Order: sequence, then C-alpha cells, then structure tokens
Amino acid sequence: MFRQILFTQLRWTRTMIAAMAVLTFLTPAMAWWLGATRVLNPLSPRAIMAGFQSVSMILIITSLLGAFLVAAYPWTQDAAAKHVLPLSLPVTWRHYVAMRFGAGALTLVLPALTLWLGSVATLALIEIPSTLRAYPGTLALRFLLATLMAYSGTFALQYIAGRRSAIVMLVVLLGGLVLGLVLQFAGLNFIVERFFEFLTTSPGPLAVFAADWKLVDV
Amino acid sequence: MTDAIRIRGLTWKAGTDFALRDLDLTVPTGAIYGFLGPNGSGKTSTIRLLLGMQQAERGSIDVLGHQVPRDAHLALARIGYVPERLHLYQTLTVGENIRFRRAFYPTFDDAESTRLLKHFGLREHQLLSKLSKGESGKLMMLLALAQRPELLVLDEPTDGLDPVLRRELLSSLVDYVSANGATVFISSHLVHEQERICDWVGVMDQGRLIAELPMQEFRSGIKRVRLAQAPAALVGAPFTLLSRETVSERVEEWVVRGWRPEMQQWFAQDAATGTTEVRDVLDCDLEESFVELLRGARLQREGAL
Repeated sequence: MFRQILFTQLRWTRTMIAAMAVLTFLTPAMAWWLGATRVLNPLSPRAIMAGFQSVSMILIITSLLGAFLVAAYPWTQDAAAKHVLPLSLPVTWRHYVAMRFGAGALTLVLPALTLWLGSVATLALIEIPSTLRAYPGTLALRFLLATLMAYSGTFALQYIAGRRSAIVMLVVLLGGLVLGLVLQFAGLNFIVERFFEFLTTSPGPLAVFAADWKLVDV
Repeated sequence: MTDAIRIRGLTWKAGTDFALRDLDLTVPTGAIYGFLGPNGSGKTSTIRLLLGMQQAERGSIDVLGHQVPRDAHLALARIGYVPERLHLYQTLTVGENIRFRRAFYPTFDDAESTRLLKHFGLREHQLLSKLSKGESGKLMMLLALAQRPELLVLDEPTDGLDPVLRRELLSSLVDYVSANGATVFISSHLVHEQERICDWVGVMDQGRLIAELPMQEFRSGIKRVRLAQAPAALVGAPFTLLSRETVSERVEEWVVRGWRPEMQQWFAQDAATGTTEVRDVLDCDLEESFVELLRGARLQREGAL
C-alpha cells in the first residue's frame, strides 16, 4: 500500500523534487564561488564561510516553496474527485493520511541528501580541519528539518481546512500584519518584537529557518 | 442468512434544503437490488453514507455484518464501488491506476483484471485524462469486478453512456454475479435498465424510501383501474391508492399498488357505496409504475389523497 502511495507521490512531485535536488546540490558550490571572489585564498575555509550566509536565503526559499508544493499537489489530486478514492479504499482515513504524509516526507529526504553530497564535494576542494568534516551532515539535517517543518504545517492545514486552507493562510498573514501595525501605532512595538523573537529563536517554531546557515563556523 | 445491507432509521441533513429522513432499507444477501429515484432524491447520499464516507445524524448502518461508519474500512475491503463520476487519479495511466488499486485489495484478481482490460478494449498506457466517458466507466467497472467483491455498490454506473456500452457493462456485471453469487446494490434513474437485471427494488423520493419490494411485485402489482361510480372515501381497502383522476362524469381512473384480480370483489362487497363497478384493469409498464409511485407518494405527503 505504502509503496503505491509513494509511487503516486513521486509521480506527481518528481519535477519539484528534482528541481530542489539540483538546487541544493549546487548551493554549496555557489556559496564557495561567491565567497572565493571576496577573499585572497579561494581554497580556504574563509571563502565558503563568506559565501554561505549570502546563499542561505536560497536554502530557506527552496525548503519553504518545495515543502509547500510537495504537500499541496497530491492533496489537489484527491480533492479533484472530492476525496472519493481515498475514502473508498479499505483503510481508515487516518491510515491513509498518515501514509500520504509519510510518502511526502520521504521524498523530501532527497534534496537534503543532495545538499549533503554537494557540501561534501565542495568541501573536498578546500583544506579544512578534520573536525569540521561533519558540517555537511549538520547542514543537510538542518535543511531537512526546515523542509519537514514547512511540509508538516502545509499538510496539516490542508487536511484540516481543506479548500479553505488558502483563505486561512491569507487571513493569518493579513491578520498578523494588521495587528502588527495597530500595535506599532499604539506604541506597543515591543510586543511584536517579543513575538518574533519567540518564533525565530530556539526553541521557537521558526528558529530552524532564521538562525545562522553558515556551513563552517570557525 | 444475514442481510448484505441493513439500514435503520437513517437521518442525515445536507444544509437546509435536503435531508434523508428515517430511512429503513434492507438488501438481502445475493440480491440484485435496484435503487431507483429521480435526480436529487438522495440515492448518492445514501450510498456515501453506507460506505462510511459521510456520517449520519441518527440511525444505524450494517454492511456485510460490519457497523458503518465505525468499521467501514473492513466492509470496504469486501465491496466493489463504482461511483457516479470518475474518482480515479486522472494524471496516472490505466495500468498505474490498476496497480494502485491492487495494492489495497488482497483479493484482487490479476488474471480477471487482464481479461477485462482486453474485453473492454482498454490500454494500460492510456492516461486517464484522455479516456472517454465510456472508457472511464469501463475502467471503474474493471476495478470493482477484479477485486472480487462480495457486494457491488454501483452509483448510476451507466449514466450518460450509449446503449451498446450500457449493455456491455451490465452483461459483465451479470456474468460476475452469476459466477460468484455476489450481492449488487445499483442506483439508477433508468427504470428499464433495472428491470432487466434486478430482483429487488427500492424507490427513493425527496429523501424518503417510498417503496421497497421484489421486482416481480413491482412489475405486476401496480395497475390502472377504471371505475364507474368510484367511492369518495377509501376505508379498509386491500390495496394502496396511489392516485385518482376523473375521466368522465361517472368514471374515475385509479392507480393502485398491490393489486390482485380477486380484489375486484371488494368494490362490490366492501366499498362504501356498494355500487362501484370495475370497468377495466390495465397493466402499467415499469416506467409508468415508477412515475405513479412517485406521484402517489407526493400526493400523500401533500394530503391530497
């Protein structure tokens, strides 16, 4: 059963997964290339350090957008026939949703894997202390966690709010924006700042996106 | 022997406009049960409820000995379902859809699937989005039959198909049933189609089951009776009056259900006036019977009878 769910997941999202994989594979090389232009010795750890923070936004956007599409597209396939197919299968709805979630999450491992490979390949060009050789793994794990975080949020929202999920997202974003503006005008800006701090610093739910993405921090 | 489907006191509402009210329905094991009703009468809603896709407000549903919706997944493993519209993944090919379905049903018969694929003239590599309506219907029937179900639930499976294709699909169904002794629950508003294959009939109208009877009774039990000096009120009649119309000053035409030849005597002996004369008893064809049943039920609800 799960194999077939995974098959459909890959069939629908293979282009997105492939694009994510290529992008994440090339990102460490891009980081090094950007950094190399700023330092004297392009083969030093400094080169990649300098470039990596600049390209971290690519990883954040890739994880957010990729996760959103990988969660959303299969849902639209089921929604096209009002979920009659999954509801008529001899498994409970929870079981089906769990398999669908698992299949999507599994496909997202691939871009994390290519990020790891890309990092290992890039680092192979540079002389770095052996103790720092574990960083590609850490970076890939961090990317995977960020992607799964965004994927879980989108997936949960869709299966709870259904076709209204886009409206729910819009209401939350606009509501947040309006509330922020009102608080700012009322001189209560510190509430907004505290709230963002809570979201983006560990163990906040968005900390995985916001903190330092430098590959080698020496 | 238990009933394949047993629904009692089922109540379900869709918004403020439509509701199924106190629905009692019984499908005996091994029967081919025709579920008739005009569009919007509640056939599809009843089917969705009995498959556990929706939750009733009140009442109980028992399918193949499993309580629905609680154990719907257990019942669904033994049910072949063909919905009203294509519900399969349109971005996959025919073969991929077959393999997807096969993974969920341990009873899935590969040989039968291959045979039906050939029989229906479908090709494995065809994308579902490119299939015609007829081909989609064939594929849904193939999937339902190849999983070797004990109960087939078909929601207007031939709606919108040409007569040749309708016949082809129904003969595949009849072949399967005669070979395997499965129970069939088939909804349709095409009365003549049901007449050929069904042995039980349930008639829905405006969310109510207005009749449930063996096909034989449905076929022969509804008559047009021409009466001279018909009684104004009907007390203790051994039949059900569905409608009455004045034909001329003295003659009325009644449509009655549950008619038997000996009932002619009742007018002479028991009817209020005692002067009523039965002039003629005419057979109704199945479609007429269906229409008269609906008309009778509506008149009764409006208090016009």
